[in-house]
Amino acid sequence: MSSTVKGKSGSPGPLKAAGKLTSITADYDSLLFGAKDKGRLIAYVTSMVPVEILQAFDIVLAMPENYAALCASRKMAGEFCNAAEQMGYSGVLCSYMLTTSGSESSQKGPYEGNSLPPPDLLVCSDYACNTHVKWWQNLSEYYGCPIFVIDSAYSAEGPLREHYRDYLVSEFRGLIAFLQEHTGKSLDMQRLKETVALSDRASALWEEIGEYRKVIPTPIGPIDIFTTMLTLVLLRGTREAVDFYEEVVDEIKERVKDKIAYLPNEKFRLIWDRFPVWYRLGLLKLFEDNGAVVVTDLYADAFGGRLDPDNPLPSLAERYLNLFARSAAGGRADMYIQRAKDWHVDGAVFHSNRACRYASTEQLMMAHIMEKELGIPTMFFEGNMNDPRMFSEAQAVTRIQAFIEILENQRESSGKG
Amino acid sequence: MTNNFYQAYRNRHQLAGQWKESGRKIFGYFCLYAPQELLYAAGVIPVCIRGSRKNPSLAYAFLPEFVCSYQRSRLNEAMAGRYRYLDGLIFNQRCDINRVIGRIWTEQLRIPYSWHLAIPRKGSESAIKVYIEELNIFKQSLEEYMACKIDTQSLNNAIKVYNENRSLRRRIYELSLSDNPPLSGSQIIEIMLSGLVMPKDEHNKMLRELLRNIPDEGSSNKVRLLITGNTLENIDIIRAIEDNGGQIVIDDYCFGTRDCWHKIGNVDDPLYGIADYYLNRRIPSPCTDSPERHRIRHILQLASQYRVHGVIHTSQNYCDNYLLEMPQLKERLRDYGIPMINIEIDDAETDMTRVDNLIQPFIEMLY
Repeated sequence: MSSTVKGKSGSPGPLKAAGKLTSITADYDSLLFGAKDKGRLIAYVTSMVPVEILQAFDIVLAMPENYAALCASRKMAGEFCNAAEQMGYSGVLCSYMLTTSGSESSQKGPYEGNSLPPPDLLVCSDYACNTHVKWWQNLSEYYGCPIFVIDSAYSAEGPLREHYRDYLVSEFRGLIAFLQEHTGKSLDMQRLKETVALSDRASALWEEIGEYRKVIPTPIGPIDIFTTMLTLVLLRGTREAVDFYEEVVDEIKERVKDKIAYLPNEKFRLIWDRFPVWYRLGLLKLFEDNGAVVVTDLYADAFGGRLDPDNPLPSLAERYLNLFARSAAGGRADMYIQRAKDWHVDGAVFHSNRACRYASTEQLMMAHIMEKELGIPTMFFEGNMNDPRMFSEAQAVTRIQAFIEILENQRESSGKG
Repeated sequence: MTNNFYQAYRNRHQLAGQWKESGRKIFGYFCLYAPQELLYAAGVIPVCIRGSRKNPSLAYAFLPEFVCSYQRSRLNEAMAGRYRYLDGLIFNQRCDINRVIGRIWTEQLRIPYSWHLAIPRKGSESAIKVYIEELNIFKQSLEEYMACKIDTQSLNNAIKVYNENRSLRRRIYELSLSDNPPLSGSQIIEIMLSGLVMPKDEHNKMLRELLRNIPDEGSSNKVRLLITGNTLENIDIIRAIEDNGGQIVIDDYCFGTRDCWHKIGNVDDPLYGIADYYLNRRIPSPCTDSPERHRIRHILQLASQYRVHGVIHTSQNYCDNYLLEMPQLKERLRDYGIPMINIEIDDAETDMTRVDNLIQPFIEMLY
């Protein structure tokens, strides 16, 4: 196949600010492993829980999904998924769940050989996926600790009605009552407003980063996005997250001002659907080696979303029902189409993630819609976000090569050259 | 004795055609949490969208291979034109796949009416309140589409018919408390499946007739089994169990005991009764059952009451909710000395040799 690589000279490489993640994660790890000695409770939360509420109670948060991704990046996830299968779990299940369960049962992990410290509380949400609730239900039996399930009544495809928001707000109040019961503290509403304000500020900065990715050629690559999103996932609602993203934005601004392109030979701009392949982020480089770069995605954005600090609970409800929870027909397709237009996207890449039926079921429908509305080519490759045993790199490479050819042919026939 | 039930299920599309010709409207629902009583009160015939044992090749255009085989099978039925008689579709999202398939279905079938129901998981008073609000909006929409009034009387009548159906079905199950049940497991499953595809008053007539004429006892295999899962299309699996010396005496299926073990309560407000039933009284499926384990408690009670020797868990390929609960169910049954085996099924592509190879040693072990 033809190669458009002109060499990587001029590429700025990863963000310098991303280097700060080492100290951020070290501080977080100290906080987590030192929590019990300092008399602070540890809560395991699923990714779409309004962590701002728990932060207002000074609870230390652990996110097993994020932990699983860490295990994958340290090449430990395959072993842990296997261990989970020995526990009786099917290998087709969410590989975040399998990784963490296997790590717990084998008492091994990436923290100098240790896994996550056990929780005092468990909080999960209903509005993300079924696995979150069932997994947390299993954890509550495994650890014998109290659990709160944030319920929801909504439709991912239908209109967003007022009583859906009201019910979710009432569930958030139930969460507050649960936390009051188990911490012995009352909610400090001023503190909640502060955590929500900080979370909103971090989300605004994340949106600003996304806006800069619109620039042609884009100033920042997808591996930087999938690594720096860690702070939004784990630390939204904290001053650390805001400080970090302010540094990131400043660095990107400089790149844009100095007209520095992440990929100097940028030829094709791509939108990426959902999960990265955590144990093989380098797959993204295979696109870049051929002048194609991911300039937008909706994965990390799911952890952001603007909030109103003066109305913390209603704005949290709005965020979780409106942004992440929509199906293709319920608004996600429109979001993708608008992204593709605004970010000047030439093609779409779908990671057909066997470990997440919630994310992957409607991808074929989404691809049909994008091809029909935008006329852009789409590609699929099969994978598993966390379990490397279920991933064939050879298949992915073949698909990427074919996709690049399609993009080039389309470019030639459109006369844009 | 039960052949009419089996034939009704097998010929469901032809039967639906006959109802259409008589002027009835037929709505399809995807999940047994759909409040069929409301549809019935509106004069609609609610039918559960079912799959088949045919190769679901058409559905691969929309659903990847690693999605629940039941969902793929029934989408395939739609794409093959077997559901073109439907006037409406009712979606809810107690499972992740149901959450996102609406557009695929409405575009394939060009259905004039569809509704996405928002059903909470909990049964608290605030959950009931939000669900009643949802049901009221749904009711108004149905009234407009069907040009009818769904009043208290029509709702109470619907509840009466559905409650009678639940009672009659439970009586069928209770026949198997006997040491020599008069009906085999496959017969009972066929009876329950047939209720999914016809008006409940028709099903009640058939059930009453059967109960009038059924002998007290029959012959049976010695090994008494409970079968659990979400759904089943391939009755050959039940027959294989019976051929290998097992007797399915009770089930924990979504269309089985979970759907009929309890009834809608007698309350002044029928919508409250419906909401309370589906959120609190109905035995929950794993899709809704958390953080408590009502379903597992139900299985343990049934296992004790029906004196089962073992449990067969049938999980549709790739069904997260059931697979996530399977190890815990197995462990709880083991605590009670009841072994459990899992058979993964794909209605269209189940390898019956593999099923025999799993069932035979399991049943032999239980002798």
